Amino acid sequence: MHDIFSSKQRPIAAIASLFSFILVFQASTFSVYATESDTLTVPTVPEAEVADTINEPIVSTVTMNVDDLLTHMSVATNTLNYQSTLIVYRPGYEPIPYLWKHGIKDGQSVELLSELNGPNARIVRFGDQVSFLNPDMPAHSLQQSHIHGPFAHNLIRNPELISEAYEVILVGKSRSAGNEAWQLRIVSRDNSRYHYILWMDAQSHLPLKLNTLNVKGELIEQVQATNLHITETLDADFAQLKQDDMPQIMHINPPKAFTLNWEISRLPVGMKKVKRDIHRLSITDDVVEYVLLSDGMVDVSVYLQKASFAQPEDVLFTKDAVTFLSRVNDALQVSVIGKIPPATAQRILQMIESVDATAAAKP
Amino acid sequence: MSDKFEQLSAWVDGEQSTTRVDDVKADVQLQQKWQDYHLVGDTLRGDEVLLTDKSLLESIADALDDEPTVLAPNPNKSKIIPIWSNVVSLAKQSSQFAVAASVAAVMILGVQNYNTEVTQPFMTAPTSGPQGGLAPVSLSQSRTIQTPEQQMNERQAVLEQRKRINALLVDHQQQIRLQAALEKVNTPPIEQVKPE
Repeated sequence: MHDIFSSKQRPIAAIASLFSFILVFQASTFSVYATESDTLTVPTVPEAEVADTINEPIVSTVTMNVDDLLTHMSVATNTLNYQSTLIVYRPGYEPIPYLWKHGIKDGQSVELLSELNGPNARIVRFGDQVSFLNPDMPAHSLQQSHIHGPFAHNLIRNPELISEAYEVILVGKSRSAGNEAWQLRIVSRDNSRYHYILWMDAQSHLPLKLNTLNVKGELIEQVQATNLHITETLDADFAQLKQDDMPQIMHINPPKAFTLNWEISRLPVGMKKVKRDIHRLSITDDVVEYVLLSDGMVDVSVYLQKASFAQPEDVLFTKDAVTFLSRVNDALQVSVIGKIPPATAQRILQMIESVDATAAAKP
Repeated sequence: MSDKFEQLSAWVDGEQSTTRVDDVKADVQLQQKWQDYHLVGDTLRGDEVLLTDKSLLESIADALDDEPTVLAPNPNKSKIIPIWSNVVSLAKQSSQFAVAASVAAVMILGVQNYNTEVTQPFMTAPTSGPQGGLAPVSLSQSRTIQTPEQQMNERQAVLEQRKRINALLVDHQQQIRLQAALEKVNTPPIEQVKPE
């Protein structure tokens, strides 16, 4: 008797639970919409950080100044003996792990960056000498001020170079890679670039994490330290390495100053022309007229070349967080490449004008 | 005995070992182990596994037959979990679509481009005549007439376009790398070093 009763009860219970479940499900989908509209208005303050800033004593956040923090960071990255494992992640691609070391040897800064997966490609820097030790190509050295690592180098070394294009805002304290960290937002002044969130170790002021976000606030690239060791003495690897063992510096002839008969009439705030020349592409051997733009955080290449083909529509895509835009007009192909939003690439492309070469040469 | 198997295991893994082909050929026990090790290795690596020995499959089937059938499963578990898992997989799928769509967009651009190029010469003659209604027919014809040579050309053109794009992307990376050298050598920005 008891058995029959319970078997009748069961389907009813099942239906009831199903209904209640549907209700919960609908409620959750609505709440998703709600949070989406929330993130549109206030895009870059994750809930966890808000909670943390509330828990933190307010005194410490008030007394800390953004400029001081950035100065501390550049001093720390250039002078401390440290070692860190960095993971670079782009949604849709496999994360890439790096080992990053820095030290002071015989009074000069030494740095090592090596990719932990795949062939053991390493970049070693002694002062201004950067050596590329890569199994795919002969070892060579170049005279360079820094290694192009996962963290935007001007942000962590020369923060004053990005101040024209970006505003840095202190969000508060948070936690990253197991350490207490300052959280900073780096926002483009004219909102035409991607924006960034930086986590900086509160104790050593070294960078721990850097998120690159697009205009909608979606993550497009993340650099995350999984550990950070700061030591009193130089790392054993550096003690063994000798600058004399590194390949000689290859001197690249300084590029001739070409006058191009085109000009980008207006640039986004803080963006400057750093280089212009005429060179050949290594793969196709095509001759291109070239301008390199930089705002301190990102570099943008603009190419102009003869087009022997028709291309009725623009080619636009984003790969590895890099935007590629190309347009063919009057048998000329113009391409804009860089870590900038597609809309900004479009605007730069539209601002290209032909000018009288002789007039451009005058100061 | 166990050392024998250990040496075999090392041999299968391509490590240093005293085992030789002749040892395995002479020893049935080793042959069996050799097969097992490879099977285990393939399964661990996620390779496709081909079971030639039916005895394992049969024993699994037998074991399944012996399993008591659960007649009244817990309704909470069987109903709710599938719905949640569907929700998650949908969200995952949509992001994959976004990636796939962006790739497809590039492809379509390329293909459209070359189709129009080929069709234009064929369209001119029939549309100029009085029977305008025939124009669509000629359009579709022009596509079917495409010789294998033309198709090859189209494919070639798409490949060429990809190569051109790739060349620019690679050059961009090189320029960024070289920029670090520039910063040191010509410290004043180019603006001030314009030729007189």
